[in-house]
Amino acid sequence: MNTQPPQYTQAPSTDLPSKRSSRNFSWAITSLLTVSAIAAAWFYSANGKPELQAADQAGSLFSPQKANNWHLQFGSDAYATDSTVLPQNASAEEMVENVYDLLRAGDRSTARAQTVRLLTKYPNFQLAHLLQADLMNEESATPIDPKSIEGKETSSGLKRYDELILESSRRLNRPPASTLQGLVPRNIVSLSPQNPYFIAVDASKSRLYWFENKSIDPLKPQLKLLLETYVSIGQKGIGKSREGDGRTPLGVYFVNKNLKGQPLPDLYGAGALTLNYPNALDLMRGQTGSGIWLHGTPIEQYARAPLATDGCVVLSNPEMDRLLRLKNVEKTPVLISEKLEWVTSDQTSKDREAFKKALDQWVRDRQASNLDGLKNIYSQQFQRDGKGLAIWWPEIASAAQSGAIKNTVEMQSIIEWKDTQDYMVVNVSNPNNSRTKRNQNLRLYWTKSDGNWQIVYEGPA
Amino acid sequence: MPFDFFQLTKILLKSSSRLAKPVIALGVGTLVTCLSAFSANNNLDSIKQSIQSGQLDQALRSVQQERQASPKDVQVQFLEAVILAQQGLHDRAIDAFKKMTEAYPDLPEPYNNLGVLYASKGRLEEARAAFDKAILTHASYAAAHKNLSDVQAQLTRQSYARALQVDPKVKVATAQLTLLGAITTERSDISKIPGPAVRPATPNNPATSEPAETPSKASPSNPKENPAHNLKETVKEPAITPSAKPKETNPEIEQVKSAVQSWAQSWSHKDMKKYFAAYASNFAPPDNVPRAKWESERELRITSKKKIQIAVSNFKIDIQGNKAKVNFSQVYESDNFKGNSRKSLELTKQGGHWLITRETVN
Repeated sequence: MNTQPPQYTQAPSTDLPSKRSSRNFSWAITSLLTVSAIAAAWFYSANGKPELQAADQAGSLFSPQKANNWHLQFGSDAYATDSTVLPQNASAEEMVENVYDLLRAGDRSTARAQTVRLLTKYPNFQLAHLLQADLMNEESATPIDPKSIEGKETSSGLKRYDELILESSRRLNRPPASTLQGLVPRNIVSLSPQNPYFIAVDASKSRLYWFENKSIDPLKPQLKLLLETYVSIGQKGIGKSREGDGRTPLGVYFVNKNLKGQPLPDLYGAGALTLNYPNALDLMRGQTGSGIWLHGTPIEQYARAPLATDGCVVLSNPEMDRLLRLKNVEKTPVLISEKLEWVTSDQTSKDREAFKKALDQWVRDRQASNLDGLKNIYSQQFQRDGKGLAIWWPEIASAAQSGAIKNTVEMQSIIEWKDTQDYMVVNVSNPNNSRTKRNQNLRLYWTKSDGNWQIVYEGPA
Repeated sequence: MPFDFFQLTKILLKSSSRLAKPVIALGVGTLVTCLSAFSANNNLDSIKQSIQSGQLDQALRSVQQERQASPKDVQVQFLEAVILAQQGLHDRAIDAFKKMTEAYPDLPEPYNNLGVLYASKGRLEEARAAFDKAILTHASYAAAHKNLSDVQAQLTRQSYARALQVDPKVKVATAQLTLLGAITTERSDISKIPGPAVRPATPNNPATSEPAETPSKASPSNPKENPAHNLKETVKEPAITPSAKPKETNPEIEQVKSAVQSWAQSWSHKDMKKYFAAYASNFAPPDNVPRAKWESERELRITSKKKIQIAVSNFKIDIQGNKAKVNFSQVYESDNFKGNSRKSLELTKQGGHWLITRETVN
């Protein structure tokens, strides 16, 4: 048989996530007994009549090897013990993946039925409508060109089509969560158990990773993935610098407030977590804008396009709702990166060793009230609220002197950020900062200039 | 061939026994194992059981015996071909089914099985043609199939519109759905024939000759009618009723008929002047609508269509003096609709012309 596998609009790439490889194996064994495909349906698709646009030219739904296997129908009980059966609480994305799994296994009729279930559960999931349309189109003797579907504004329909294809490929080509086991984003240098969570966003993959912090040794962060979900970011992409530029900022941010239960416009869906954009570094760079939040979707869209927001990071409502229910999410670090790098938690480097030395020196000088030594650690580029070190030094010095000997600062988190320069974003608890602001935490931005780590910002966290 | 067909077949036969209603499947798709049109005799039932339990050699021996006894029994020929297919003798099975499609072009089952076998050999174009022919063996199936695909296209369009979040009501093309106007020969009637009767009187056309043997010759369905006829033939089906016959000699009949035909023609040509002239001045529009309003509505309805085709046939004409009642079949086809109906016109002869005074759809 030299059947050409059908091309789907949402053709995922050939590098199937490894979590499915085990399924494929069991599939291979049962393939002769399990089954599918009514002759007519199969045969229209095998002829590839509807030449739909392939999202990923290199990829196709079926590997040629699998397409060669033939399947026979024995009734609906064939899948009772198959791994293509999904749990009741499957997410919309898992249901979409399941449809693809079924199609790979050649079971078109169950795939169709599953698509109907998906749409019943998530009627505003546009991607599921596209999937259903493609499935119907593929079986049709007179397929429809999706680009011929015109609304009042033709271009918006075409744009939406391209957006859905991008969304589909981002969802289906993501690395499976299992491959991240034991790995952490490279940026985490230290994460004390005081931080219940850590959030990382990979803009290039349209994914958000929400971890539970399981670290015992702060310098060897251990994270447990709580949720991994598709997100939308700014319509103009990443690298926010000005108000209204439609971009999502890149950097290390922290959750300010959980707005769950507060009346918000429909645009924000299930609710919102606010972020501290612009952060100290953004301000030093003269960046403008505000109101960069993590939030849900409006009622008419289960998910928004990968590039759709004014700069916010947008999750689907079920996921957003789940996160908003968590306690103590305030102050959670949110790393927004163009592309996350995943490493084992015991990673270190010369750079980091040098930084740790500088940090230790700062702690020691502070405890010893060694003001001369301390001042050397502060950069001439220091800036807070638009004012330099000359203005801020007296306050820093007095804080270091006031009873500092009795208590030590406690390290909460150290997160590395690299763009044009290397930065370390450090959060410390500072129990003796002042009598009136007990337990006032400090946030410091360190940067490396001429091989030395120096502080460019220090302020309340 | 990427797999061992014979192996597969064996596995299948084993597994199929756990199904309440076993379907012997072969390769991709479903191989039909009995002809729905014929009820089987006991021997054939036991052969089928042998096939389903995987005793193919025994089944083949039995079917060959059966064939000697009744060499022209289509059911026996069919079962033999099924066994060949199950044994993996695909080329021989293809030949057997092919011969059956030539001898009995009205039976969908041999076409289906031929299609399955072609597909299993990768001869996809031939498979497609065979499946198409299977559907076309019955006008109703063909119409249902076409309508299904039209509706499916609409649904697809709707799904795309939802996916793309554009208003689905904008620019939705209306499908031309086919409305069947009459019930054609029912296959279930044929299947009621007891076993021995399934033997075709003439080997070339069992489907058409068999029903003729049924006692119910007065059945409304025309036994001579090929079930694969098209819609237009369907409406010609009802024969001229006996009541019309004695009056055939009346010359007025032809005049009335030609008046109706000319009315239909003016409608087809969208010649509104001529169309309205076919109606008498005392014509009573339906629902007591005033004549002027009725005319303007008709004009709008008719002239708004790009294309109208009216075909009238099967007249039943009853003339009493200067009044006539005409009952006929009307096939109406326009841009996006096709349908047929029985229609009644009442006409009065006024000034030498037969003019319409009442129009009703039955």
